[in-house]
Amino acid sequence: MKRALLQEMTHEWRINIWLVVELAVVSLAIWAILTLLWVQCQGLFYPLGFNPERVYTIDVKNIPESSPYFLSEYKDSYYQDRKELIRRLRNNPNIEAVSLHSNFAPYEYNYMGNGLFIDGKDSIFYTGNFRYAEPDIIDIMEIRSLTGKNHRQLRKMLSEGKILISQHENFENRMGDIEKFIGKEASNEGIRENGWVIGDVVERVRRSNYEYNPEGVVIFPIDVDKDWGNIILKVKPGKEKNFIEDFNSDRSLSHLRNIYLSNLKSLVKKGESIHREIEINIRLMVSISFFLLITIFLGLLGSFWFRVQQRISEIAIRKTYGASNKDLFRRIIGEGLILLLAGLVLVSVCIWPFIREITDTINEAWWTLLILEGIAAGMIALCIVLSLWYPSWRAMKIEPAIAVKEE
Amino acid sequence: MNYIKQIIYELRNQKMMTWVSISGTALAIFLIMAIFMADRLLGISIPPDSNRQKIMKGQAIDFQSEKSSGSGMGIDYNLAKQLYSGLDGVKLISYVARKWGNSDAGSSDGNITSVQAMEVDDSYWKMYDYQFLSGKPFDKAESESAQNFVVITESVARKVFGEVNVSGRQLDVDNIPYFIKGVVKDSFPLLPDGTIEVFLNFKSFDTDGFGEGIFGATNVRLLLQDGIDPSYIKQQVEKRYDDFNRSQEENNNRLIYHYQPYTSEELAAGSFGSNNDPSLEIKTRLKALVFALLLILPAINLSSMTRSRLRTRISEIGVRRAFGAKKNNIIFQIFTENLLISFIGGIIGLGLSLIFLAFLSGYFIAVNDPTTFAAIAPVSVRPVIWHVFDFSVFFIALGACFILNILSATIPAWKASLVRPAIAISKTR
Repeated sequence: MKRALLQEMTHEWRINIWLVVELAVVSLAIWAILTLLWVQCQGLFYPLGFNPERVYTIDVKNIPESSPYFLSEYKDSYYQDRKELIRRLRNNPNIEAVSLHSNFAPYEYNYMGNGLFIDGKDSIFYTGNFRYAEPDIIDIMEIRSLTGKNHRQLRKMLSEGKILISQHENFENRMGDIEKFIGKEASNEGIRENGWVIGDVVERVRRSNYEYNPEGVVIFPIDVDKDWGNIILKVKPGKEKNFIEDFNSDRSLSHLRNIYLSNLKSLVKKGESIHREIEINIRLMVSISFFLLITIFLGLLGSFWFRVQQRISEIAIRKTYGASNKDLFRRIIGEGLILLLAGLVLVSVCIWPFIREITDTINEAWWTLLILEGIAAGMIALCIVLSLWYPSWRAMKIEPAIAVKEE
Repeated sequence: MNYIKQIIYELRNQKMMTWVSISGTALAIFLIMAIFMADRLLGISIPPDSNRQKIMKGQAIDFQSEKSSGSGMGIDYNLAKQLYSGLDGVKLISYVARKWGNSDAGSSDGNITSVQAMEVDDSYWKMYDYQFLSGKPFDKAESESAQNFVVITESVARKVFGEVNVSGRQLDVDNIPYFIKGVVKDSFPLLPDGTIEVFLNFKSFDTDGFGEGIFGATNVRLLLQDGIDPSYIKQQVEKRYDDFNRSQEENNNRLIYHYQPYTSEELAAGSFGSNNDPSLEIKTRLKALVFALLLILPAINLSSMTRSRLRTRISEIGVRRAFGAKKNNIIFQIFTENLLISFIGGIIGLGLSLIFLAFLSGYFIAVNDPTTFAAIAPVSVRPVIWHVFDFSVFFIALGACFILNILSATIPAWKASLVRPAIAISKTR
């Protein structure tokens, strides 16, 4: 049967070649779109490393000296005043925890970072995104230890001046289990001479839900008396309603001498904003794929409509010789799937010389591309089955005696 | 006339295929036109940016020295003047400085709101045609005075004061009091300055030690005289860069020229950076690839369908050839038949693309905050859709239908015309 099917297909080779080319172009387009989608969305499959619920960020700003509101007698009390504002926030009954931070808030795409030499050896070099905060950040962001430590223990480490490092695939591939570096000293000459002790390994705090970055994250204790920073806080459960309005209407919470707090934003809303562009891209790619699949569906429906109509008498004869509807469906759909297979082979042959370049560019293994090609093929196969089902069903509905009457 | 009758008969006789062909064409034209018009929106020239095509922008600097090297999107005011003022072919020059991040705007007796602010000079108001709902722009004397003046958008006026007639009142921006000179109508957010809500008078004249007289906050806007080629302006600016580099040879300081100032097309393509040359080539190629894909795929589809349809009419073509029909007549008829399908599909597709842009654009277009890169809000393009739809769009859709027709019908029509009458008729027996 398979040989007969192939023989029959070779008789129609002119039209079939067009269909193969069309299926090849569509599979390539769908495959490319799926690959781009995978590259953009793979971050969604990894833990976020923090919980944005009930978390808010605030910018710390100061009134410029040129302003008539500037109080010159307090021009040197910036750090003291900032500490006082943080103390007031901590005493607010709606707020659970507050921390001064630098580069800690996710959804801001800050790439500040460097490398740390561990154990004083040049060969053990840990690269990552540097984030600075007070110990309360552990509770605010719900940082999770990978060695089973609880929040109180992690907080204590930061208050003792220790640092927390995250898992780091590239580092672990080179150096092995990362937990063996707990308790070792890490230093970066550019920042501090003596270095810090690594307190624990925690889950990586990512910059966005879609980001996939195999590099690490280092959490440093912040010096509230001299480091620049903004504020991050967590509101108590059930106190989120009107929190922003209440905060903005209470000047004693947000203004002190030459310092004021501004731009209070929910981390969840910030996330929605920063993800909107990626989501629009994803929506666009999914829509284009959908339209391409409809195009292929219509094309196949159109081409096979006539082909099946022309073969009504052949179908009738097969039926009189005992072929079931299932056999005939299998035969017609098999024809479509063989064409798809030919299209996929054509695409694979054309892509193969560039496979190394592609996998290097998107930083993926060749088998990821193969799986994505399989998914693209599956989607197109579904279109083929749907587009061939109706013409074949119509043809099979005709009584064999009527179908072969003309013959 | 007979042709038309016959075509209509054929289309009605094969209803299913007619609808499949029309739907395929409509889908292709819909995608092409939706992408084309959405792309047009990014370069739209409407008030207050009616001069957009004639405005060039100098807004990046790339510097190398023995001590340090770097690049940035803002220029020191004096350097900006040295590079861009007094150019031949420039009608007007304006200096602006974008405020990084959000600013707080409010009044002692009103609300405080978070806004996007930019410092502008008096020339800015001559270059852009903002519609003033109350008050007027600040003039040269006010712009250069030590006092603070501001023009705000209608939405900020409503948020802070609850009304539009607020000229003459005080607005605090980042805790600095400003005198409100005027209130302008909100701009379409996809315009380059469309997200700016507060226009402060230009103050970024001095740079501190950090900028080393190179980096600063200033950007330059140049309004070209009619008929001036942007490349002529670029040539002059390149010469200014050379002059600067010659004067700095002793100190080993060097500015790297990246084809500034940029045209609106280069800026809309987003293909520039502070340390790279703008390139329209990649975007043009990508666009061409997308349009080609959207034309070729349906063309292959329609071509297969046309071939299949013609095979059922092979005896008819044979009989017509036997009765003296010329090859050209056969080709012409098949072309006309296909073109009719393409036009019907094209009109449906064009209509769908307009409906899509008017009602669904918010799902696919967002306006980004240029300082945080976060999408501020989805954009409805309904208020400006008629600015991107004109006769040229209609003719482009028509052209796309015609190309689709040529691509899909040429081979089947040519093959059908080659049919030998005797064989064609005998095959049906």
